[in-house]
Amino acid sequence: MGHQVSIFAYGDGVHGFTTGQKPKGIPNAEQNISRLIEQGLDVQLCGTCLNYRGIADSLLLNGAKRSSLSNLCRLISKSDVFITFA
Amino acid sequence: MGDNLCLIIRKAPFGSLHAAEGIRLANGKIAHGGGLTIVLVDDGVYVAKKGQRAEESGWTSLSDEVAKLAKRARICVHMDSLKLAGLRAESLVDGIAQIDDQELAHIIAQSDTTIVL
Repeated sequence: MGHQVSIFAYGDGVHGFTTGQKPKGIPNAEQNISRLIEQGLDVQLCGTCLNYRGIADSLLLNGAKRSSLSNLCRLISKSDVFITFA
Repeated sequence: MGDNLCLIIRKAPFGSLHAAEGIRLANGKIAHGGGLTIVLVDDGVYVAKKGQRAEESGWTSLSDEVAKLAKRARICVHMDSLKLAGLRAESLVDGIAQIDDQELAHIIAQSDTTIVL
């Protein structure tokens, strides 16, 4: 039995969930995250952070959702475990 | 998980987005409801320094935001970090409590979630 996992990305972290990445010598985040989304990973991206960086919704990975700080607070409240990578 | 959040800010206001994001998250948490304690540790103590002058650096002074937040949430500064930064309590905006290591440990233990930025 697996766990329900959500990722909330903010700041520069939102770049990891866009299409058209061309990494060399490092894992391809676009492919790996897309695979995880297909398996049920919930991905939420800070809307303000997307706006600041000029990232349109059309550039987001399929399944990655524009979200808000309010939703982040909800996630914090309802999650059993919360891990931060700052 | 319950709704008491401990937000530890370790970065100074200028040079990275972490401190500003922390303040933004704190405002979001207040709007959402539940408990919030902000603890300024290491270079994070500069976040509460009075009279920050961003000038042409491109960064934003957080003094006013922290002063406003201090009226709505508990904000603490880690005393040893303050000392290491060469700052005194009088250098900080009003409403900031000073805590030692033990009190910091207690705040973390009492919180449901701790986020370190």
